[in-house]
Amino acid sequence: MDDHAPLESAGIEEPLDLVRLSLDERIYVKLRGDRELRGKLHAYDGHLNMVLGDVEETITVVDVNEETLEEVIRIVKRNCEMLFVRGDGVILVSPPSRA
Amino acid sequence: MADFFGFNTVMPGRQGGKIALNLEEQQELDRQVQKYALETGEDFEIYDYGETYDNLADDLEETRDDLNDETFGGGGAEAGTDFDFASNTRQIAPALKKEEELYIQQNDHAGGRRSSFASLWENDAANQKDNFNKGLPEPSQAASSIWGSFGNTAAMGGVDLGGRSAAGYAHDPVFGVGTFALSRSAAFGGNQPSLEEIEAQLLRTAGTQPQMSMQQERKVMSLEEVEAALMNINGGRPIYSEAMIAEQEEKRARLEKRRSERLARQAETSKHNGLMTQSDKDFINRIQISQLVTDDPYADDFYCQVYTALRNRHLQQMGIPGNSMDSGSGSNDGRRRGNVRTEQRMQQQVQRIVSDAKRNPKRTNVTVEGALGKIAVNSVLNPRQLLQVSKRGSINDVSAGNSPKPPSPGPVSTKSHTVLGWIENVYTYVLALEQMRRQQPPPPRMGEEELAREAIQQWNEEYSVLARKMWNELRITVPIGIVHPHPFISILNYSKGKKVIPRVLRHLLPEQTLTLLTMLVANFESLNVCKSEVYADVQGNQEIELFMSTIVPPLLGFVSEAPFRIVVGLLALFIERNNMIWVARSKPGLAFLTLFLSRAEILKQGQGNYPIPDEREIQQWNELYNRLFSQLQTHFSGLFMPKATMAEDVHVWRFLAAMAVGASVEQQHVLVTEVREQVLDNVIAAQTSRAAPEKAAQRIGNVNLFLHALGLDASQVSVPAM
Repeated sequence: MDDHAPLESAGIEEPLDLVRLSLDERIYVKLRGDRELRGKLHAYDGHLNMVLGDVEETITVVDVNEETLEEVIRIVKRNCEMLFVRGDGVILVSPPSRA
Repeated sequence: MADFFGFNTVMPGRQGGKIALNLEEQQELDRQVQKYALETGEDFEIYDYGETYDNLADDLEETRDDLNDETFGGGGAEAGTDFDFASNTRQIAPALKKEEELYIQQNDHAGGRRSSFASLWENDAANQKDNFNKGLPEPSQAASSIWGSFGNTAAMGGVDLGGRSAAGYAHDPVFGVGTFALSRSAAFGGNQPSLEEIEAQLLRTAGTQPQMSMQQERKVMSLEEVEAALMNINGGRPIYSEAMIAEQEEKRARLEKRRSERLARQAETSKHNGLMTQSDKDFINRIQISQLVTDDPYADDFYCQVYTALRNRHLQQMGIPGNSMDSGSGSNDGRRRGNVRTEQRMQQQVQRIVSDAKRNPKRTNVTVEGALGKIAVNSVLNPRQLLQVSKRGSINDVSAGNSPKPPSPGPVSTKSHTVLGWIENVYTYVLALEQMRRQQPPPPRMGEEELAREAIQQWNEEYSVLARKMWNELRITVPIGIVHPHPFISILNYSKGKKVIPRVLRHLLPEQTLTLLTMLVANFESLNVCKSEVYADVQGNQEIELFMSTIVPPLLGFVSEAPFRIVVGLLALFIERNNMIWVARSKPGLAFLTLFLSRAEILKQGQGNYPIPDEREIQQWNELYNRLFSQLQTHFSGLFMPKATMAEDVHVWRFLAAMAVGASVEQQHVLVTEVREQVLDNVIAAQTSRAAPEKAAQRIGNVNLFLHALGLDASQVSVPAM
């Protein structure tokens, strides 16, 4: 057992180390402007710019009816094979919920 | 013009054709000159003609000067605005620009270049550093620009600058080159130095220690590479064939259009021309470039470099000459030629910034005295930090007395995080090893054997240390049974863990590879690709494909060179530690079984470079084979996946063929009986189906894999009448 690194050490020292663990895994990203992304994390940097693959983007749009002032919440989804996410819009990065 | 910089400009009265001042006025003038000399640090002695005045001007016509004011813009009223430099510069901007262009043209012919930076850089290293720290352009440089502008201003506006404009500072570009050439002339025998010489000189001044020169050289190379890569990206594609001439024409038209558009744009913004001096521009350039500069361009531009390499290879495979790193591109030739000078200058700037950054790596921002705000010297790799997260060390200090580790949130998440952490560490080491391979010291040259040997030895040591760390991180040597599944298998259960294996294997010693293979074989059952349910979904199938394409091929290569003894040992372990029925149902498991069986068969027949195994080993093998056969008996038909298409069960036929080759007559009989259904199904389907002929051929081919091993052929199979 002396020969190899301890079983438990994962070398997590700063928040970005956790993001690194999600490389090549599917992640959930919450963005400004009511947008959410689910995709495979290919790359990221210190600004949280990211390259995601097989992405499903979910945009929540609130339409206000001008006459009745009624608010209608609409969810728009689209899929991208590859997506570059600029880091300044990122609010949250997490593994996808297991539910 | 009553008073100019404190000078009394009122002309003294003329007496007897000679300028005669009374003693008091003479003293006053001397005092003022001295004061000005002190203030400006200018040595006025050289301008003092003293008694050398030869009265030649006495005969000049001194009358009819009533139009002087109009000619030279005299009149005290305007004096107040002459020092509004900005507006003056703006007024004369077109003239400046024209002169600059003219100058550039001249210098193009002369092979020289406008390089105010060059003059800036020839200072000694300490001075450079000082300047960089202050973040200010060199004072004399700034001054020269100002004087340069003044020279022009004087010419245009008729403002006499106390004789300074006569001193040869026509305007700033000339000044830059002037000093440059002057200071260089000693080193280069009075000729205009060529660019190579300048570069060499720069290198010499930058790397003060001689032993650094090798490193410097390498760095220069890498910078060039980066630049070449950059150019390459800008450069589009070269023109490949004559058939594309039409396209080229079109391109030219487009370029022409773009050029005219650009000219129009330039005309629109030309009113802002000349607001900044060259040193201002250089200063800003330097700030901008310093954000991008890196010490190790290959590693930092890794993706660009690899992408370019791959693309070039791809192009070459298609018979198109690769767009090599520094080859020009057809569409951009004109612009590129113009850019060569800029690029060279940029390259030198980059080099300077790199050496500066090396000298003070800690500094993250500079505050220039008297400036508002700070200049951040962050780079792409070191973005501005907003959060200060204390490192682990300091946390430990705080909680040293209490529990050594914070409680883990839950066993499951810890587990996956731990394994993911191992994988990332493996990647870290693999990347470091690959980087080291690229920096492998060159083979020794004549006369430098001793030095080279040392370098190589040091490299070898570092390399083996890293490889050892990587090996430990894989946790292959963790004894079986401590954790389940085995840590190495846990790594392989992630797709990125599978992907790293081919890269890992390149850095392993043969015995380490054997250990890896042994560990894999011993724990094969617990691989997630062995679970039959993974065939059910798309992702599971992807994992299997990944396993087959990443892990199987390199190990196949290894086994196909292994001696008989090792193959026997591995198969024994495989059968011993795993449920054969279970493992054989999975594609990877079957692939490994086929691999061992076929390798053993080859060695038994004496092929390969090993001697034919002896009697005892053959005996051992036969026992093993019989054990495997008896375990799989009555399950052979179950190896075929339900509802599998024919393409998907090639591996099953291949396995059956491998079994059939080594089988005794009775065993062959058992085999045929068990898979009779499948053989018939395939033959019938091939003969009667309306499917495409190539599909039918494939079916027959699959069946023949097996039948040929038995000495039969699909054509011999009689199809019962339907």
